[in-house]
Amino acid sequence: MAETKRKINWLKFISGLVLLGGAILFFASGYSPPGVCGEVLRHNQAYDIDASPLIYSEVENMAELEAGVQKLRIEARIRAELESEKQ
Amino acid sequence: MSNSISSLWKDEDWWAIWFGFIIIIGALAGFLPKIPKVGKWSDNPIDAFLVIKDGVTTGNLIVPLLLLMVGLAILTSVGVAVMKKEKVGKYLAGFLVIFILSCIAYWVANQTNIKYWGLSYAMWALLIGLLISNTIGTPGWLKAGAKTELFIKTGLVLLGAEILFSKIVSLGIPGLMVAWIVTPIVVIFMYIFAMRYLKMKNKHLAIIIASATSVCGVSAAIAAAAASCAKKEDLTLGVGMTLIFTVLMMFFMPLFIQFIGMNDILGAAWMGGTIDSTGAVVAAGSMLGPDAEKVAAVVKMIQNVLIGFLAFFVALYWVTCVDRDPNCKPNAMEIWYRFPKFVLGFLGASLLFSFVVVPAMHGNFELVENKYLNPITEVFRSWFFCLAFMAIGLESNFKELAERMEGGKPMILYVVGQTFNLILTLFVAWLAFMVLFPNAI
Repeated sequence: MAETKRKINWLKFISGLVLLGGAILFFASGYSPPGVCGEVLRHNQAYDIDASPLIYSEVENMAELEAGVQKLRIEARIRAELESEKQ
Repeated sequence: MSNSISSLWKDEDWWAIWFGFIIIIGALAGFLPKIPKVGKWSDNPIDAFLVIKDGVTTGNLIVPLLLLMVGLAILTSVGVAVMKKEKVGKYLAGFLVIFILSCIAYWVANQTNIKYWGLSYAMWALLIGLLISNTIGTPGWLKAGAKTELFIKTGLVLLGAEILFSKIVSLGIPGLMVAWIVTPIVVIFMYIFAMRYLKMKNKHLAIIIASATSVCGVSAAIAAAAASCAKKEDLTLGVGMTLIFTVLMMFFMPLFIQFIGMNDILGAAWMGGTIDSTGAVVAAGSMLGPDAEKVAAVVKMIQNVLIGFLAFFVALYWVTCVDRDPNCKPNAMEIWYRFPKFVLGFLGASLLFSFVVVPAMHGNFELVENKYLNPITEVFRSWFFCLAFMAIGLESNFKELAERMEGGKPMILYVVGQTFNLILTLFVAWLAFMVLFPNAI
C-alpha cells in the first residue's frame, strides 16, 4: 500500500515537473499572444525591457529614469515661467 | 530583564538584524567583494553561469556561487546553532539543497523572454517548492534547512538599505499626493472591508493582500506578513494573487489608457500608483512613451519608500490590537517585548543609508548604489528572498491553501480593493497633475 502511494506521488511529481518544464519552455520561447493582448510583450521584446523587478532598486536604469524626471521638471518650470512672462 | 537580554541571541528577529548589519557593515567597510548572482541568458542556458563581457567569456560563476553558498551556510548556521532551534548538521544539509533549488529558480527567471513577461524569481521559487511539497513531500532534513522567517527578516533588514527617504521628493508634491495619500487610504479601506463586510476570519491574509495591492506587490506582502507574524500559506496566497494581477494590469492598463486617449503623464502616474511591481510599471509606462516611463517609475519608487512605515504600523497594530489580551491594555514594556524587532533593523538600515551614508558621499546616490547596494546588499537581499520563497513553497500544501480561500473571499478582497485603488488613484493623479500642479511635468 505504502509502495503504491509512493509510486503515485512520484508519478505526480514527474507530471508536475513536465508541466512546469512546459510552462518554462512556453514563456522562454519568445511567443507573444496575437493582437492587442500581446502588444506590451512585443514592446518589451523590441526595447529589451525587463518587467520582472520587484522593487525600484532592481530596475537597471532607475538612475536614468530619475534623472529624466528631474529634467522634465526643470523644463516644465522654464516653460511655465516663459508662459507667465508672455502673459 | 534577563529574558529580554537573552532574546538578543535567542530570537530570530535579532539574528536577522545581526546578519543584516554584518553584511551592511562589511559592505561599507569594503570587506565584502562583489556578490555573485545567476546571470541573464537568452538561447544558451549555460550563459547564466558564465561571466561574459562584450561577447567574450572571461570566467564562470560556478566557483563564486559555491563560495557564496558556503559563506551563507556558515553565517546562518551560527545563528541556528546559538538559537538551538535545529541541529546544525541537519540545517546545513537542508540549506545546501534549498540554495541549489534557489539557483534553479533564478536561472529560470533570468531567461530574457521570461523577464519580458514579468515573471520574477519569487514565482519560480514558489512553484518549484510547491511542486516538491505537494507530490513527493518535503523530507524532514530538507525542512530543517527551510528557515523561512530568518531568511525573510534578514532580507527585509537588507531591503531597508535600498529604501532612501530622499527619494520621496523626486516628483514634488504631485508625486507625493499620488503615492502617499492614496496608499494608506487603500490599505485601511481594504482591511476594514475584509473584516466588516467580507467577515474574513484570516486577518493576516487580509493585511497581506491589502499591503500588496496598495504598496508594491511582493515586497510589501513579505513585509506585512513578517510584521503580522502570518503563516507561510497566507504569504503564498497573497504573493500568488499579486503576481497574476500584476501581469494582467501590465498587459491591459497602457492599452486602455491609449484607447481612451488619456494624457500620458496622467496615465503614467495612474499606473505607477496602481500596478503592483516596479518592473511591470516601467514596462507599462514605456508603452506610453519615454516621459511616461520615467514618471510611472518614479511614482512607484516614491510609493516603495512606504514599505518601512507599512511594516512599522502593521507590527504596532498587531501587537497593540490584534494579538493582545482583550482583558488588559498592553503597557509600553509589553509592546516592546512583543514588537517584531526586525522592523527596527529595517528602519535602522534605511535611516543609516538615507541620513548617513548618502550624505557622507556628498549626496551622490549613484555612487552609493554602484559601490554598496547593487554589487553587495541588494544581491544578498535577493538571495535571502529567493531562499525564503523556496522555503515557503517547500512548507506549503494545497490543502491548507484551499482552506484559506474561505469561499473566494481573498479574491473578492483583491478585486474590490484594486478597483477602489484604481478609482482613487486616478482621481488623485488627475487632481495633482492636471488641476493643482498642471506645470509639474
